[in-house]
Amino acid sequence: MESKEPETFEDAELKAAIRRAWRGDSAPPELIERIRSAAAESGSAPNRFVGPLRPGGWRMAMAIAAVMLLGICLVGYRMSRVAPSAPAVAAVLPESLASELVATHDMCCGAPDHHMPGLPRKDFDLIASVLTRRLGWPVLAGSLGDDWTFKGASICPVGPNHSAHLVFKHDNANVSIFSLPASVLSGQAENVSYEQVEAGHPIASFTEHGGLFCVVGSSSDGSLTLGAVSAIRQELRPRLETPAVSMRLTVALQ
Amino acid sequence: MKLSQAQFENLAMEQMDMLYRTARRFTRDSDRACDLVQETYLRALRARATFDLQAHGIRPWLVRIMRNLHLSRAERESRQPRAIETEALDTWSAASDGKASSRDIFQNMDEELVRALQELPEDYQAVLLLWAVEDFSYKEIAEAVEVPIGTVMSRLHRARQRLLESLKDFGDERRLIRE
Repeated sequence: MESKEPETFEDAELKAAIRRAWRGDSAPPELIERIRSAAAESGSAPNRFVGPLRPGGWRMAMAIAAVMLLGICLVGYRMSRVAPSAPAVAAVLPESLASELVATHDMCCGAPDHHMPGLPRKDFDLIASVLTRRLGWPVLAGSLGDDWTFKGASICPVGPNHSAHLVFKHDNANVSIFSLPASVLSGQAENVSYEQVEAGHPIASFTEHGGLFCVVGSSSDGSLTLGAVSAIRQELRPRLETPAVSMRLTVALQ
Repeated sequence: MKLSQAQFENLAMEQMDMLYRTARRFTRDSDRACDLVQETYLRALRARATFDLQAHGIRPWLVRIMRNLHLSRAERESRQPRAIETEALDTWSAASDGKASSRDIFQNMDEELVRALQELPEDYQAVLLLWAVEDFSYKEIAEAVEVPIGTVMSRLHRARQRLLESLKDFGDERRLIRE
């Protein structure tokens, strides 16, 4: 069939008509701005600090410096509160951190739209990719299934830290997925699971790839149990092992 | 030929409108098109070291990244790809065998044409766009969508045939009214 095709294709009328139909499409200004920002920030990767920083590159440098300073301060703070003999691996998160997660969860679940402007809404891989790039540590993002409505993703404060924060709603229940740097924990260790209930909120967490990922739930009738949020954690956890996430981690580590 | 960071970014950024138009054809949705363009640029910036201007040219290279991203997403969303290569060329014959020509059909029918274009499979739309609006050469189109040049020709011919078929009835009505 292919061999019967002519070797050229010319149709001036068709070409002119298609140009009239499609030529007007152009990239929206907000998209152009987003991409220019991403390009500027990508210029701050270590192997690219050869020449002077381009406009926009300073923002990433400042962010990295701020995160490092925050991490050092936090580790110092935690070490001052935890006895040197305390075990590095604990079954529960520090109470202060759990309280901060609950406070942010309750605050954000009340918002009508929790989505950060400019962040993709429909593609969880892309959401994770953009937030990973923005924050500099791995971000866990995924669907909880058709029963849950995605209320949005954003970067939210958790005590003195920042976290990627996704919110889902189902009837009278809410679920948050937080992604923090594992450095918020003293004596951080990889592949540690934590489970607890804080102020009536079940919390299931784990550390992996240098990140601390916390699933926090709440429900007015108490139907969302610790077992339920643990199941959500188990369902989402493999998303950190996908090729897309591996690529994000590589980018984050650059 | 390897480009500097600044050269590469300047070259790539100039293609934003072209990529957005192409993404609109692939996704048929402006929001999804924006997401696709953004992810394409992120991928392209990461893969800058692999880009060779002489070997590919920036435009087919960028479109190829976008198309592969789009196909990966489509696969993830369990959408079945369209089997356009096996379609028979003779699904339409009346317009080309009859008296109607491109000049008769395509002039002064822009609204109908937009609708007919939107009904084409996305790969047909992409090839038509790259050929008509973006002025890609056949070789560039072939590199961008990763098919032989003969397949590019096939898609152009079949796309035109489908458009003529869609627009034929409308054209007939117009002639009847005139008569």
